[in-house]
Amino acid sequence: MTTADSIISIANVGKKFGTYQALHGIDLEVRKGEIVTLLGPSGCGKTTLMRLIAGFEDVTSGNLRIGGKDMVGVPPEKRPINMVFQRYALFPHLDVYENVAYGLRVRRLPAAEIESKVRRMLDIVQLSQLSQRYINELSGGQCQRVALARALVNEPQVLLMDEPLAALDLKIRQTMLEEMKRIHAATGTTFIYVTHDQDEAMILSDRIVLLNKGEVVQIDEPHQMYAEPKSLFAAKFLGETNLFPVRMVAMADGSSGSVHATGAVFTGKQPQPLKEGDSALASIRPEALYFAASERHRQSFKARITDELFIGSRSFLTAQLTNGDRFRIQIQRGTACPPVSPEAQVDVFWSPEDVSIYPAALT
Amino acid sequence: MKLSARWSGWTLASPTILFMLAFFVFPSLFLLVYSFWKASSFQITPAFQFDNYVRALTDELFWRVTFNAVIIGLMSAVVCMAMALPVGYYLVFVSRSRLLEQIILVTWFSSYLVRIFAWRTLLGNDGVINTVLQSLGLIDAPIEALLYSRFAVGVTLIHLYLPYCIILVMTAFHEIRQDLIDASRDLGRSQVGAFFSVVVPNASAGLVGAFMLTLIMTMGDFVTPQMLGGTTGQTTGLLIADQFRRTGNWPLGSAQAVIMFLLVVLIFVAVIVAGRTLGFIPKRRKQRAV
Repeated sequence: MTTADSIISIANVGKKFGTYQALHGIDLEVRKGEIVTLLGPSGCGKTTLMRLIAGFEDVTSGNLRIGGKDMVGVPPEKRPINMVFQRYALFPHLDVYENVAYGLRVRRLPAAEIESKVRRMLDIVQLSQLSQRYINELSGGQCQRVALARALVNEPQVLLMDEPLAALDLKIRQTMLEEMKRIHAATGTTFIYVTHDQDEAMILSDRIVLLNKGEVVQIDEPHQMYAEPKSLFAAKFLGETNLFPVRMVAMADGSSGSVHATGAVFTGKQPQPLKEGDSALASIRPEALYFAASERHRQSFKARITDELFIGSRSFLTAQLTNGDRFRIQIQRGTACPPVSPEAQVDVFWSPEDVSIYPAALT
Repeated sequence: MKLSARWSGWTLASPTILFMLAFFVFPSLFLLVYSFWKASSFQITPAFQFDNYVRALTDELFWRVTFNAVIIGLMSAVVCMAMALPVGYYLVFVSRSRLLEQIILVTWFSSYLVRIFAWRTLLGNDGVINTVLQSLGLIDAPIEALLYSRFAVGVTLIHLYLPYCIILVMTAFHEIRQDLIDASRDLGRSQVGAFFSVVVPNASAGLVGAFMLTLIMTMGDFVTPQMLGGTTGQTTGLLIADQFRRTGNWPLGSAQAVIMFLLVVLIFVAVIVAGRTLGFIPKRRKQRAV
């Protein structure tokens, strides 16, 4: 399928390095103006996929189109794409201005046009003051912005970013994320962003492409992917979750549910097929557990609170079920909660809407 | 007790510094001093006069062999660089093979003289090349100019010094990160374009070094010209060596050596100027007002 506003169309793409199958069966449509994140643990193939799009590697099988044109065999310099490299790859022999002007000079644009485009782009990334600095005189965050400007000044149809914030410390990272959202709004360029950091992915993306072991696990909007992970891997990789070993049973009303060793019953979404008797894992996020029942939060089990981890705005309580299984409950600061006490049993409530049940064998 | 960074630096460097002072700096200074002394009938007397320089520069033989040395040196260094650049690029950025790198080093396992004699065997009147050409009926008599010529010296020097040149070029390339080349291509340059616009400028110091060291080694080599140069392929190195070994005119030899040194400096400056003009060497950075 190719929609009218699709800018990148990847169909059944595979990539082999020797005998190692780095990617298989990748299908992905990227729409014009979107921010799409390729998210996954290291070795999942996200960087390989990005290098295929950039043209540094060729696909082994399948089809890759950019702007409707087949890209097989097209070298990187002929693709309507620019890239921000992980360690920026800024040219040390050129100053900031010349780094940004590099791509325009290659295209032999008139000098006046180069000047105005570079000036405008330096304004957007707020580096006009530093245009004559050399790269070794810049901070990490400044290098990052030069790298963005150097790529964006060419007005690429797609901007690729390979873990662009990995080398920056936490504070600058957050500022840069906001900065990138602002720049995206100002330029309207399609962004493809590679990261292993789920927070970056959720803050930035219109859609997240979750990869594992060379395959696409799930493609969804961040809210949707967090609320309804379609696999155990997705549930574990995006955010934190509690997993309870359960066995599938038939419920009294004929629907399918599951039961824990303590007798607690979990019903909820089953994104993958499960049948009666299967061993499974019931997943509930720590912030979906409560100490008070409500119309929604009607399922419950008994637990003892053994520990509290105070983080500031919230706390993580470690709790233990009667059979010894441990799990975590997240509470907001100021919310009433029972004291830490290894003896006292308390009721913990949740909503079946917040439960997903996955086959135990698959990861 | 802890030494300050400054003193521990001096301590660590002192063996090298002492060695270099004793065996390089002082002898070089002696050479400079000698070049102003007087030599007459195997007697060397201290003086301060420019006779040695005048004699060297007005000697037709000196000019001829120096011209030879410069031509042979430049030719060998240019050919070595022309071959070392693609090989070095391949080894550093494409194959990344340590094995191939070590195979290049293996050529150093055979002796310098053995390799010179090998070329005599190849190029001589009864040598492999002449014999083959003769038996093929392509020539009637052996080409004598193969051996004992500037050509023979050049070929042998290239063979001897190419491995050094490759290693030096590779060292320069190792400083360049692959992603700079990727970035350059991403911004529209072809592979060749990326090489000249990103790899060369950033490796320029190392590449100039590789060229100059190859030039100095090939220009100054006096064994190869002696063995293979005949009468037309003699170089200044041999002439200078003769002043010390045979004639015993150390002051004249010293003056000739100093002239050669200045010539190398001149070539170095010319290379830098040419590199800057052609844009292969980044202009010395000026700290401009921010």
